[in-house]
Parts: sequence; structure tokens; C-alpha cells
Amino acid sequence: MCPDIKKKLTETPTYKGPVLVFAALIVLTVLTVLVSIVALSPALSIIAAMSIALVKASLVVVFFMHLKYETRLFWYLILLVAVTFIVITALTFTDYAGRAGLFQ
Amino acid sequence: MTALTAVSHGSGEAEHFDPDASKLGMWLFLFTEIMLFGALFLIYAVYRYNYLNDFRHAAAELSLPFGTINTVVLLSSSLTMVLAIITVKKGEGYFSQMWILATVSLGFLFFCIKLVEWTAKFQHGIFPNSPELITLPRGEVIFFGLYFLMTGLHALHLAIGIVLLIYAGFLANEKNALSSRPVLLENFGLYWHLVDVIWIFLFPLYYLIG
Repeated sequence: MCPDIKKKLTETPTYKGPVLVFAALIVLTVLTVLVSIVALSPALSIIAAMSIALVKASLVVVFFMHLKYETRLFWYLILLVAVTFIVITALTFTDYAGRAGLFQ
Repeated sequence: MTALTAVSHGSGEAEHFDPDASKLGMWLFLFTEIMLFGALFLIYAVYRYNYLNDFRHAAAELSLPFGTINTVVLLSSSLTMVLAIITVKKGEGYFSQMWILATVSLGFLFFCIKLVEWTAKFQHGIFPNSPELITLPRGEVIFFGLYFLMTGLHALHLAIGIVLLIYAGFLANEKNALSSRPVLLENFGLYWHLVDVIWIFLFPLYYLIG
């Protein structure tokens, strides 16, 4: 997936790629709206909605934000940000999960 | 000789310009933006976890058609943004100006739809600290507070993006100052796409999961 520093792509820009990615994003948007209308259980609907959102965001980051053509450094940095956010979220929830009565 | 190098160091920004470093700098800035919105998403998650029923009830008040149309508008603006960058790289100043104009217009359209949506909420007495809002259950007050904060901050980012793109649009004229340094538009594009990515997550959290 991620190109090596040495053979960093000097891609010839075409219109076809971005249009295809855009079509995929629209299809996923329609899909996520349809899934939300079909009454799934609360847990399932969150999982479905957030999974589709993650796929959409990845499409934008990888293709529109050109991550596909960047060096490994950018991939590692984004991974670092993602891991940091996951750790902060996990730590916060381990705290709140043990104090369910806090907001009542 | 030394004097010459000194001069070229002093004035020659162009000679030492590194587009990769410029892009890396932009990404580092975007990471701080991700952490800013990330904190808000985390606050949303914690309150949703604690006020699940209130959140579900309040979310039903938001307009799914408005949210969906705005998602499509913003995704379209991301496409026109990419096309603007491609045309700038090809040196087609006129076309890049047109694509930038299209992107700015779609940004404005998003803004207008958001405005209509907010106005409808205001008319129903739902705005921060309104007398009607504070009579609602605590979880719903928090939901709408977060809704206005997060979509408002997102709209502010969009407004900044529009200003940046108008500036880029002027540079992409016939003389085409942009094509000699396309990384400027690429960086504006990165920012624009990040605003799109944030909306991609805001949309399901506020409009879809009930």
C-alpha cells in the first residue's frame, strides 16, 4: 500500500480516479442512511454507522489527501495520532465505566 | 562569495523552498485539529454513554434530509478540490480557477443549508441557554449543547477554508502563480478534506444513530 521513499510516485494526475472515489463515497453515504432507517438494535446501528464512516474517512485520507502517494513517514505519523486517540479514549472509558452513577 | 550566499539566504526563500517539508508542516497542524475535534468526540461519547435515552430522543429532532444533503454537498466539494489541484499541476490556470470557484460555492451551499437548519432549531426555541432548552432533560441539553458546539466549530473551519480558497483562486489566474508552487493549493486542499473527514463522523453521530 505505502510506496517506498525511493520510488515515491510522481503520478500523472487523471480525473478518473477521484471521480471513482467520489462515486464510492456517495454510495456509502446512501448505504449508511438506509442502514439507519432500517431499525437495527442500538449497538448494531452504532457499529454499522461508525464502520461506514471509517471507510469513508479512509477513502478521503488515502486518495483525496494523497496519502497513497506520500512516504512511509506520513503513514507512521497518522498511525501515531490514531493510537494516541484510541489510548485516550480507552483510558477515559475505563474511568467512567466504573462510575456509572456519576451523572444521575 | 560569502556576501552572496548571505544575500541568497536572506531573500531567497524560493531557492530553499521544500514542498515536502511544507506538506509535513500542514499535516502536523492537521493532527492538532484532529486532537481538538477528537476531544469533543470523546466528550460526546462519554455523555452518550451516560445519557443514552436522552441522546436518542434529542437526535430524533435533527433533520436527516438536511444532514444527508450537506454530506453530499461536502463530498462533492472535496471532489472539485481534488480536480482544482490536478488542473493546477497541469498548468491549466483557467480550469483550476473554475474548480476552486466550484469548491467555494459548494462550501457556501453547505453553510446556507446549515444556517437554514440552525434557524429552524432557533425558531423552535432550541439554542444554547434558551428558556425552552433548559426545561428539557439534562442529557438533551447536553446533546444540543454539543451539537451547536461541534457543528459550529466545524462551520467555522469551513469558513476559514473558504477564505483560503478564495485567496488561492486569485493566485490561479492567467499568470498562474499557483502552478509554480502547487503545494500551496495542496495544503489548502488537505485542510479542506480534513473538514470533510470531520463531517463524515459528525453526520452519523448526530443524524443517524438514534
